[in-house]
Amino acid sequence: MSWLRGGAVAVGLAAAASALAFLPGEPADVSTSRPVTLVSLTGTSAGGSGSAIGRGDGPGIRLLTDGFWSAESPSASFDGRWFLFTGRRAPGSPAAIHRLNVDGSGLRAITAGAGEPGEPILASGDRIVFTDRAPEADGGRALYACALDGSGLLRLTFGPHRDGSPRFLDDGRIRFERTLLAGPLAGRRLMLTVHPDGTNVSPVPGPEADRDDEAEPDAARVVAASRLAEGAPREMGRLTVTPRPAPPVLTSIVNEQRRTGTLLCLNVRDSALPSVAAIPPGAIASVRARRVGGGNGDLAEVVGEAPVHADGSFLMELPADTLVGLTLIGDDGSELASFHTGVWVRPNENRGCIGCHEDRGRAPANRRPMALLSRPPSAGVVYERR
Amino acid sequence: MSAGRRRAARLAAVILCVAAAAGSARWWAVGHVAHFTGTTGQSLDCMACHVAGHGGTITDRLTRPRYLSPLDVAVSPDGATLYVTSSGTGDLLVVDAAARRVSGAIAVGDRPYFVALSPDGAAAYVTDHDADVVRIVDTASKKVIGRLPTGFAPAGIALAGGGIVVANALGSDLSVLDLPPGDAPPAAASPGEAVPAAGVERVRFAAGNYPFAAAGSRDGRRALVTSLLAPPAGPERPPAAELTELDWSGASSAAGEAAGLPRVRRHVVSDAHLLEGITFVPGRSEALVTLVRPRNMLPALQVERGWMMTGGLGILLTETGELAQLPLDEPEMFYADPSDVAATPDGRLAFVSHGGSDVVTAIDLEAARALLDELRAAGRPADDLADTLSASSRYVRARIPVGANPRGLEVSPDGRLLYVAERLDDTLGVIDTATLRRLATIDLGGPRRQTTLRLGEKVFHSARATLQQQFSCRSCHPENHLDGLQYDFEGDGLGRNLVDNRSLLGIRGTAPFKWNGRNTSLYMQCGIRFARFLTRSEPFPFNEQVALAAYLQSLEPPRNRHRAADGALTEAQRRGREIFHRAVRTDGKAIELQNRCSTCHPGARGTDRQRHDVGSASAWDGETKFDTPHLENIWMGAPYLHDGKARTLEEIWTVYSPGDEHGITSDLGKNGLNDLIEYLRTL
Repeated sequence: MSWLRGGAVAVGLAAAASALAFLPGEPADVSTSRPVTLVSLTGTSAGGSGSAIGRGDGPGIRLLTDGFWSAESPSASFDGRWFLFTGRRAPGSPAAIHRLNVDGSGLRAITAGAGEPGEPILASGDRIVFTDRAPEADGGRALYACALDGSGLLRLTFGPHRDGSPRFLDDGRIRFERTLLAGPLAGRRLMLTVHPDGTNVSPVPGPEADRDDEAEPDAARVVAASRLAEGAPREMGRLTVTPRPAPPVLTSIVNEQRRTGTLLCLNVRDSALPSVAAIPPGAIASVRARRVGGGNGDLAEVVGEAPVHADGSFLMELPADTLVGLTLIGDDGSELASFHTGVWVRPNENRGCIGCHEDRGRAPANRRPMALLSRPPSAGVVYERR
Repeated sequence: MSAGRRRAARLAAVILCVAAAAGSARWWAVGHVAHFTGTTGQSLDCMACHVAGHGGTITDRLTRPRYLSPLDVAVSPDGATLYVTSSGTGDLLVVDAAARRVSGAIAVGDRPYFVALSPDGAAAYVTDHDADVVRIVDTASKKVIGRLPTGFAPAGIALAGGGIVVANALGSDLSVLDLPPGDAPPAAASPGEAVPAAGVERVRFAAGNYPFAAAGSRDGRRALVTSLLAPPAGPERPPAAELTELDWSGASSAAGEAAGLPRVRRHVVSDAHLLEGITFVPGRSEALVTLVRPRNMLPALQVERGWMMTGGLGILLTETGELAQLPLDEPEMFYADPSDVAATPDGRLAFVSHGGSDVVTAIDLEAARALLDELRAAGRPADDLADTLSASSRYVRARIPVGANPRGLEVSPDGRLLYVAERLDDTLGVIDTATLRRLATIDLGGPRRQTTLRLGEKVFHSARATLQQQFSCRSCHPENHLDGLQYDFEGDGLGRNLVDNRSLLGIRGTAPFKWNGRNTSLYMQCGIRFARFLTRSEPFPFNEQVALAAYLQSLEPPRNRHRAADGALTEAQRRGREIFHRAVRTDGKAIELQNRCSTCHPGARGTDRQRHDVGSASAWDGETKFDTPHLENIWMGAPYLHDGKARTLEEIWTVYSPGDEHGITSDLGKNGLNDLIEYLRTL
């Protein structure tokens, strides 16, 4: 009977949308040249609360997601002709990412299955990026990507944490928010960037502080606070849909046939953390990589270890697609410092960093790291030729 | 079988044959394109590569528009007239600053580069890069009234020490030229008449590798000359270009002072090269120089956060010699190819043009000085912030969008306007220095139509296709040449297979490309793998890839200054030619075919376009055979060998071919090797 409840909610939302058209202050612009405006709505009916997406640029609000118990997170295409949203047909039914033309036609499901996809955004090259469950932890979520027909599913972010609020930057990278769910830094929020193939995960430059709680500005999105009285159908936000340039398609060196990537660090002591920078030169013998574990988010089994050279550099081969935390090991085998936020490499990725939690506003010094003067551990691997 | 059926059968057979032929042709074409581009799914447009890719479309060839390519600009002392070098047409354009239109054009030779005005504005001095002279222009009559011979390929020019200081780019030296004697300039030559030489060269000094820009102080007692490239240092040392300072304020000796000789100081700009623009700050003992800090010692495994290169501004305190470096980029946004710098008369603002990003950066010099004072107070070195990109927020006031490939900058005498030579738009931008907004565009009168070559030139000079716009093709190939650095690309392992950068001049007909000879064409060289391992962003669209290939193939090498105009060789060069082509050693023993110079370096281009093992591989190389480079203008291609470890031509044999792995030379002795090199310089 869930479809009945879903239908009831949809009918209720349609009525709410009609009612919204006559509310004071609501513009009634019928100009055909006006950009399309999508309106996110919530409403309540006998079946419970649901959500919908409508058109708000006409003389009222016209419901577009009729037949969905919930429809949310609209994200417009680059040409402004259609949009993505997360839809659920009935309470308890699986959610899926859909695309729909702005005139309400052409409904098509993109994702299917038992996941909980959400927050879809369109990527260049006819692909989408969205969030879904991360299997490493209860409540964990990660970023994924797939083609517009649902094929080519690719996981982009890794670890037992909750990733969300993805958006594309003008340079083609994805910016997202990571909430640490476990470990000593549980509850902390980080702003990270990643390439659309999951490589080069990196904190946003600036102080490595918690994320500012203000909403990120988005040229295409105008989020309005709820303007209606408690209990009435509510408009949750508006999305002005206008054609906009697609971000560049960043090329990828990921080779899914490989199982490892490498991490090159130029100087472990080059750190914005005073405790690390204060470690005397030569006191760090090696660096150990351990998987960031599932349950409590602590560092679990060792997945790699590499010597730290006199200049502080190291080169380590790491298992791909695994969030690892690094521990600095002293001459006597003691653990000098551990970094729990972690990093991952994708298959075939060569990742570079200046130091352990270095100043993100700095470029590296132009010195050949000593770690490259010894034979790289992956020397036997056949690399693709440029 | 009836006649009708036979005809039908014949027709069907013909159709089948045609279809089979068409299918085969398409199959071959797909393979052909894949072979030369390295990718599948490319366009099968034959004309794109075989016509447009070799010099432009048919329309381009018929119309042959001549672009102006304004490179430098000077403003008359009263601010009323602008003088712009039109490097594409060989003119010095005269622009009415008030009317904002071109009022005249003075033919000043083959390829005018930089222009300097006499203090009273009566004369303009223009370097002619191809003709090795400075042209003297009488601004009143708008005529060339004299010429001053210089060293090889003069570029930057400045007035100082009672004469003219000229940076001789290909000579790696600078000339101090005396002006014509007396107050009156030489009489103007009539049209078509050769302009007589006037003035003499007072002295010539070594001035780093590829001297480029020059600036003179207001009092005329100092001059600075930048070098574009760092001296070849081998793959294990970071580059450090030089600034050469000429100081007439206190000559090193009485005799020197009497002869008008300056004291010479060299400032090493650590970890930097591509010093393209320089200016003295009015009213202060400061000079500003643009620079690029490459990261060639690191594997090129990412672009973000300046892992390939960053741009910077050097601040030289002329009294103390302290040279500070400050970044011009931001942590996630880069402004490629800092090209020129200018300062306002009050010394409070400076401007830097970024040729790769079509932007001019406005810099608050007071804020920069305050930051450097903080460094000094904290006892930190002057270049301590050179890599701290976030520091730029302290002193960058604005990023001002301008036309394509901005190069020369000049501030008006009253400090209110900044003029920008927008080289690839054939325009002059006018910027209000108070509001830091673009006021106007002066159309210099270039062709409206964009040819394939011009599009390719724009692609080459733009950083738009690179992640975060960090660098352009030109960033590694300044002046279409080379940067003299070695790089470690990640595709073949970190820290392995270092490769020396190679010149693009004269590249046509020398395929394959890359030291491993695996790129069969420029389409492959500049294609998807270029994006995957270098620019990290979208590959060039096919039309831009074709245009870029066309542009690269159009790049002609400069006139070889070591070769006489009539082709005659000196005695040493003749002896060297005999050595190059010899088949027997000095002791009369035969030289095996594979050990003769002319075997691997045959013909006019000096390459058999094959890979050979010349013993240059190190333990870090994955292979031992490397592409044979062409020898055209090899004299200006240092460093040498696939990983750039030979700093000079001599070192190829004296250091890196001890067992005659690179041809038989051990029997030659010093004099024989000198002769061989003398000959090689003529190629």
